[in-house]
Amino acid sequence: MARAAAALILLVALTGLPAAGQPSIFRVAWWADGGFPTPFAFSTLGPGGIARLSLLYDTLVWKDERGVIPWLAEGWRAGADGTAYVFTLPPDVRWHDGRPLTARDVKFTFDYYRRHPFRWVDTSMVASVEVRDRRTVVIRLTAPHAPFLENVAGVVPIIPAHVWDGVAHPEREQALRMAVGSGPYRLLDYRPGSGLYRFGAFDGYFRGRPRPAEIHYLLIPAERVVLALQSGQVDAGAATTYDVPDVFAGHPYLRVLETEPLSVARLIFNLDRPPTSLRPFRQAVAHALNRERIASVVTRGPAPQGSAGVVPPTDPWHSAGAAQYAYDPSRARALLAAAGYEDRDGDGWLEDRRGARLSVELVSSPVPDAQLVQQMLREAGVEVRLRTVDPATRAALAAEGRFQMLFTAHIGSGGDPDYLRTWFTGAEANQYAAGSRMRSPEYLRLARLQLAALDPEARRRYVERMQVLLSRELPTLPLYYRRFFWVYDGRKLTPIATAGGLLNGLPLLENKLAFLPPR
Amino acid sequence: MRTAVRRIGRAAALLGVIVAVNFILPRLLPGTPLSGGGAESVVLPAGAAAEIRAIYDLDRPTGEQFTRYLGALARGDFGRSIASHRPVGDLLADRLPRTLWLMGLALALSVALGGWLGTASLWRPRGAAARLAAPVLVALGALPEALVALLLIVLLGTKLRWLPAFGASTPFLDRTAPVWLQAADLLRHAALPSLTLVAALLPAFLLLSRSVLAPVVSAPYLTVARGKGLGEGRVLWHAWRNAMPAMLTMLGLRVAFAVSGAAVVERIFAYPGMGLLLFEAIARRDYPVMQGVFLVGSAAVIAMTLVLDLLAAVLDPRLREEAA
Repeated sequence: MARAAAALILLVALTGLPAAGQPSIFRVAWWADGGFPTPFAFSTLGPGGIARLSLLYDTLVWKDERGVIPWLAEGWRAGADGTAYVFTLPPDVRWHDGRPLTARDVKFTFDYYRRHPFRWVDTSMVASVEVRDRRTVVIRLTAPHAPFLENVAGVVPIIPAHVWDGVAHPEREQALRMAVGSGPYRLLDYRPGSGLYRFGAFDGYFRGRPRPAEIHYLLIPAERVVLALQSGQVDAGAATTYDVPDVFAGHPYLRVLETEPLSVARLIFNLDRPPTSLRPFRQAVAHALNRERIASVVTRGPAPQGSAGVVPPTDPWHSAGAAQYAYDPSRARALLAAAGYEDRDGDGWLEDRRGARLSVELVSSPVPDAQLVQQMLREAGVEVRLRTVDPATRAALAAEGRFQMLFTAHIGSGGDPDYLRTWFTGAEANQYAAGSRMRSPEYLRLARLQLAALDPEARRRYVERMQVLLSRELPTLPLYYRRFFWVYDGRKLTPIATAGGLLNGLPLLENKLAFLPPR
Repeated sequence: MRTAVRRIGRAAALLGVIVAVNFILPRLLPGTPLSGGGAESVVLPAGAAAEIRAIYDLDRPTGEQFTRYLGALARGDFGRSIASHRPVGDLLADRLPRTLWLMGLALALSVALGGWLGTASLWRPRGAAARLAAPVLVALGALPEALVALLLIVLLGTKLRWLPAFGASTPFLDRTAPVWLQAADLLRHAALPSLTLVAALLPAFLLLSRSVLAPVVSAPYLTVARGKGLGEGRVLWHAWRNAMPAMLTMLGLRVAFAVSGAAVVERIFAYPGMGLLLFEAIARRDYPVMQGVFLVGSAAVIAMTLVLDLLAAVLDPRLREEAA
């Protein structure tokens, strides 16, 4: 009996099954299931789902290290008034099932998204699509849309008409035969819930045969990614702390790719509720916080300090003219004193003229950032009542404007700067906070102008001015920007540092160019 | 018989109440399935959000949502996950066997080891079980599950690389492999999470077996049994027959609660069971999935309680008399 038990234990310990055999497999760790990879069923919670989609589907244009490049469209022409784009497709593009991809598919795609909207970006600016011939398509917009190429044509997956035509509930269609794209990889297997994906190289890809032969995605909790890389369980994985490059320095084959700082950790102020509705209070908070220290404590390294104009200092759209708020506690005290807050009873806390303590609630997930903010504002005499909630509650409170100060960290602070419009004018109102929208008529006018600007220099001026206004009004205070540190097996991959991030500002590794033959 | 019918009726009524509570509770949480959650949230374009609201009846009054939910439930339809768009019934059918496998292993080991050590420490108060194993295991059970899990991952998963530290099976394993190899693979993947659970569950069974056996160790009927010349094994069996109902009740309830999974352990080991499903559903405010997991879990507890009640009445005549 004992011998049998010992034999069983030994068997269990030593018996390992190989993954279904392919010589060239690249295994990527990700911490959440990205959902079934079609434009209608993938998960929009985090960028994992859209990244998988980009391997399976193609877009009209794409991005490399320098910016937008031709992709499914080998060329394009924009009309003089900015409301029409003519795209020309290459002659030899095929879907994974071997059928040819034509201009009709492009038209079908945008028509179908009108009935069943794409989950990642808005396509409602597309008024109509006209097929000129088998390879030429004209996309007409309702109005000029400056970010159209990068944020729409470069993000929206083109889908096959012969697969989706007549499908009334596309989100329910989750059989492998429905995940037909034209991208460099085909979907071989997907295990819902387990977050496991198996992609196989598409031999008939119009840009050449991709390498490696297979890409596997494995679901590994974020805090365990480094362990998984060290133990050889995966070939690539991401972390957000600066000690990661040191951990892998000198490793024989594991390399680290440092992305642009495309994720922002920021405080959001409610402009409708006192005391955060008072501009001097917001400015005082900005001066009272040692953002460099917060960044170094949380990211364990020199993360770029937040710019009050929101756009990161490393971004080509950054405005040097945006007001900045150096760490200066005495300036913070002076601003609060001018607003009527002083320590009237000598207890270390500031009080208003009626003697009520200056106290503000900070909504946050359980993260160290919020505690650091609380400590630093304590030194300035401001009481911060921490309200620690789960991310979904925080998002709901933000969307409903039920907060005074709120801490959030999210991706998207890169690529086309149209996010200055969508985040702060209510175009995207979920987690980007009702209650902190810019109401300045000038800001709203600039937001519209930059959206429609055809002249890049004029657009730059509008965007820079928007940053100046944001930095003065301070509806939000970026504390720092986060980079993603992608650790990868240098023997299997030469990654691409995508300009402005993958798709619309995502700090991800999976640029399909990295898997294709050199151009 | 009448008692049994009455108890079954009571259980059915309770289940009805639970269906209503399960529907209301998720909606009392702040946020909605569209407000985002998790580590990084994105913002759905307005058109996409409107379509999802319409698909999942979120744009209808709550009362109407409830009646539609009841109608679907009557047809055996748990609805669809708002996050993954898959039928909740399929998700439950996929996750429940994995959780039962994991929890079954952990419970079987805990009962066997806990019962054995509890008995041994009582039977031989100066033996190794009483002096060393029992106190050490009880102390181990006081540690947080997350800490035990991390220790096991670092030691057995990463340093020694004896056992896999995540998932329920080897990713994309060769399905043509012999069945025994596939079974061994499942066992290897369940090893670390179930050991973590054993560390938490075992002390309870150890202490329970000791406490239910303690009063009978010196009972006259055992002295008589020994006097009749019965071996120690038979004597022990007589003692255990009295301890059995308490152990069975605890085991039964643990099994019933096991249906809802072990959220912390499943999350740490990325083990796709009911606990992880519930954890993700709560984080995403995925109402239909939350309702499905709660309902199955509640039904299991009610059913098991009913079975234990009826079984106890069958096994113990005194309970039948009390009920009468």
